[in-house]
Amino acid sequence: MNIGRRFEFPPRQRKQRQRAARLSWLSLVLLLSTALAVYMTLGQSEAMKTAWIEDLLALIPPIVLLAALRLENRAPSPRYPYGYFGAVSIAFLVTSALLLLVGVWLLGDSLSKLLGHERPPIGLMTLFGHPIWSGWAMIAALAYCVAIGILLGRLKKPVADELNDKALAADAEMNKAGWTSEGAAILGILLIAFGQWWGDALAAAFISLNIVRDGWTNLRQVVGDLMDESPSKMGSPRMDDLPKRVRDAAERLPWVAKAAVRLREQGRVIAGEVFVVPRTEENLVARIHDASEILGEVDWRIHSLVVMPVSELEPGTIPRPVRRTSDEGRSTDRGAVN
Amino acid sequence: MRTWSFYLAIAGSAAACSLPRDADGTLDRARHGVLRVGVTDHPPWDSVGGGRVGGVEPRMIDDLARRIDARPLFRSGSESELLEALERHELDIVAAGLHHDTPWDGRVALTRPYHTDTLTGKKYVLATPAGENAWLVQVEHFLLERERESTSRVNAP
Repeated sequence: MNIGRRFEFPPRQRKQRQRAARLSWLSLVLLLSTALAVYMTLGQSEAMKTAWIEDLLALIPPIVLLAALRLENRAPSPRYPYGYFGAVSIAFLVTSALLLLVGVWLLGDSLSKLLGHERPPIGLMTLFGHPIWSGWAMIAALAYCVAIGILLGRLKKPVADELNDKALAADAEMNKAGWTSEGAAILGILLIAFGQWWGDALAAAFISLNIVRDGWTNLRQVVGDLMDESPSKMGSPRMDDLPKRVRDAAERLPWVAKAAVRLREQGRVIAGEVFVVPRTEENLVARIHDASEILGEVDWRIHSLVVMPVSELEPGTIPRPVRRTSDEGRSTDRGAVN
Repeated sequence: MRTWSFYLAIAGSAAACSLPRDADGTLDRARHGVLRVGVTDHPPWDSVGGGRVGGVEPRMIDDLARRIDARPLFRSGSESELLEALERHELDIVAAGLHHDTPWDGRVALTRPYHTDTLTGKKYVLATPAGENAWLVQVEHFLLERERESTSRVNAP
C-alpha cells in the first residue's frame, strides 16, 4: 500500500483543473484592470470607495485558488505526512475573516455617513482635454466592472460544478456579489446626479452588506472544513450521502458482516475511515487491500480511505450516515447517532 | 449585457439634461439672485478692511457672479466660522486662501485648484457646500475656462 501517494485526478477533472487555473489568472488580470479603472475615478463618493475595496478583496480568492491548485498536487512529505490540503483551508480562514471584518467596517462607515447626512461632493474632471462631470466617468468605470464580473462568474460556475470545487464556486459567487454591488454603485451615482445625496451612502451600505455576506458564507464553509465536517453538497449546507454509499458498498462485499464509515473533506478531496466486521479472518489482508481499492471507486473525490477490521461495532461509536429521506432538514440530523 | 447597456442609456439621456443637480438647489437660487460669499482677511488672496473687500479670490468671485447674473453678498469672518456656515449651507462659497490639502476636505467640497505656488507647491482652492454638485460643476467650469484663458494669453505670440 502506498501511503504517501499524491492524489491523481481523473482525466476529465484534470482538464477542468487547468481551466480553473487559467480562469484564476484571467480573473487576476481583469480584476486588477477594474480596480485601476475605479481608482482613477474614485473621487469623494462613498459607494465608489466601497466598490473599489470590494474589487481589491475579490483578488484574494483567485490567489488562494492558484496556491491551492499547486499545493494539492504536492506529495505528502515526512513533515506533513497527511499532505498539504490544510494550507488552503487556513488561507481561506484568514481571508474570509478579513472579508467579514472589512465588510462590517465599511457598513459602519456608510451608515454613519447616511445618518450624519454627509453629502458627496463630485466635481469636474478633464478627460482628453474635455471637462466632464466625474460622476459620468465613475459610471463608465463601474459599467466596465459589471461586464467583467458577469463574464467571470459565468465562466467559473460550470468549471466549479464539474470539479465539485467549493472554493471556485465561492469565487464565482463573489464575482456575482461584486457586479450586483457595482450596479448598486451606478444607481447611487445616478441618484447623486439627480440631487439625491443619500443614494451614495445607501448604495455603499448595500455593497458592504454584500461583502459581509461573502465573508460569512466563506467563513462558515472553511470552519466546517477545519472541523472535519462530513462532505456536504456543493452550494448548500446539506450533507452528502457519500458516507452511506460507501457503507453500503462495504456491506455488499461478501466477507463483510457490518461496516461503519466516517469521511471528511480535505479541500477538494475526501479522506476517511471504513470500519468493517469481517465474517471470517481468512485471507483478511488481501481482502482489505481489495476493499480499499473498490471503495475508493465509489466517488472520484475519495483520496485516502483506511479500511480497518474490527471485531464488533458498538452502536453509537460512529454516527450513522444520514439516510436520504431524513436529510431534508438541515442540521437536525447532524449529530445523529445510531 | 442588456442590463448595463440599459444603465448606459440612462446615463446618456441623463447627461443630455442638466445633470448633475444640487441636493439643495444652490445654483438655481443664486442664479439671477444673491450669491452668499464668505471671505477671510488673508492677503494677498483676500482682504477685508474699511468696509471694502479685495484680493485675488473676491475678484474671481465677482467674475463668477457676473457669469450667473448674481449679486455677491460678502460676509467676513474667521476660516472656521465661515466654513462651518458653509457646512450649514448658510453660505454658497468661501474664499479663505484655502490649500487643497486642508483638513476641511470632505466636510465641504473643494474646487479644482485655481493657482499653484511654484515655491511651496501648495495648490489654492475655493470651497462650496458638499453635495451641491451642479454649483460645484459651475464653479469648476469657470475656473477651468479662466485657466485656459491665462495659458492661451501666455502662449500667444
